[in-house]
Amino acid sequence: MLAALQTELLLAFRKRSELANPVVFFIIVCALFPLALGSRAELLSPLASGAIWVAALLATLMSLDQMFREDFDQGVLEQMELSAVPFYQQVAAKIFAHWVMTGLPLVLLSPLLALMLFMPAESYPVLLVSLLLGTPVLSLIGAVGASLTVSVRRGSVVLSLLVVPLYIPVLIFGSTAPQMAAEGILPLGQLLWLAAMLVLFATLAPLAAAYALRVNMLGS
Amino acid sequence: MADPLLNIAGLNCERGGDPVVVNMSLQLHPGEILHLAGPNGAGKTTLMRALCGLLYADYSRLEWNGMQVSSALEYADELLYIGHRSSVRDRLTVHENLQWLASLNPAASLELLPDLLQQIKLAGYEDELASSLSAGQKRRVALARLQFSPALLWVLDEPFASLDVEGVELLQQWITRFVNEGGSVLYSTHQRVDFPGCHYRRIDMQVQGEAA
Repeated sequence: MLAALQTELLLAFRKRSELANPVVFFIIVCALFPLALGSRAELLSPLASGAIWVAALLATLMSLDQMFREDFDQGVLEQMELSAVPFYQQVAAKIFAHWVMTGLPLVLLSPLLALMLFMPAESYPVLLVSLLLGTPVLSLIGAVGASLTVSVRRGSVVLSLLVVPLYIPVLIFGSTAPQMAAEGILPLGQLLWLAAMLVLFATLAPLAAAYALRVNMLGS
Repeated sequence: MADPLLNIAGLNCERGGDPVVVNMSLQLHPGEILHLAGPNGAGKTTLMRALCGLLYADYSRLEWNGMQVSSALEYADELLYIGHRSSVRDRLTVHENLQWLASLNPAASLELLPDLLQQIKLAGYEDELASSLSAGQKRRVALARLQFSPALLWVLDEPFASLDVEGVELLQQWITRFVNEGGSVLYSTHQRVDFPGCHYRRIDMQVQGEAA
């Protein structure tokens, strides 16, 4: 399991130029808001957390298609399946590496973009916590979608249709939490919901993704 | 004779909805080399993948090492499958690839790595990315696994493809040694490769529906 994690992180690091794509997209979207709406604090600050969350969601969505494709095509996944290490653990390692290279940079960049969007100072910690809990959920749900569509060429439309509805609760809880914090309310409920979703999907998504990948392998 | 390592009866499998293997029986004993021969499309790859559990198949009997098993995946970690696709990861170096392949089986050992790299003629290439290797070199990396795996059965789909003369000889030696130590090998090839002194058997497969 640890060896698999090490390999996947190393591979993700080698692929960093491709994985930078969603991160750049995230920055561009957030940077375009002040340009399009005018950089007025009273206009932007209510939009800030929503804009950051929508951009993070779309950036993650962009990166999903490639999560398993290369390994599926090169026969790497079938060797993982045949190996003595449980397949779902290796899939979990892949999902974690994906989050480290796409989700984590979004979390780390978000304060900078929040500044650009005039987010009130009291929302910052809540935004960080909500993204830290929420982006892994996006990667985990996305992994299930990506594994279901791995054998579909040009499957990204199907993938989006499959995954976006499941992203909605994360988006709602994630984007309302910083807004509530701005009004001086501690959004404990929202954050606990995100944490609960993280626990749920961290447990089930690797199993589901592993099963879906296996079904796709058997059919090919 | 001892119990067969793999004993399968009434095997049927399909490729793209067409039956390619129909009601086949197959026994493979320890120390035996089984050569699957036949024209393209005869179902050699399909059969091998089915025996490894990588393809849906149904059978009336499936026994591994004398034990009844319900699915090929139950013995998957005791066999080694090397297929057409190299399963070598382009963005890892030769050394990292071998480490990764070894990590797939906790019982594998990488102690003999420098010697192994000499044997596969890749000494000095340890830190090259696999994407910069030739097809034959990649195949050598994939095949190097054979030397550190504790598997009882090697399932090799066209293992000699894209290997040079020396590579073919090396693989022949490896197979001969493995079989003499009690391992079993199931392989397919269109090349002429002999294994003198080994318990060798050949199965000729036909394209289904052609005879009719």
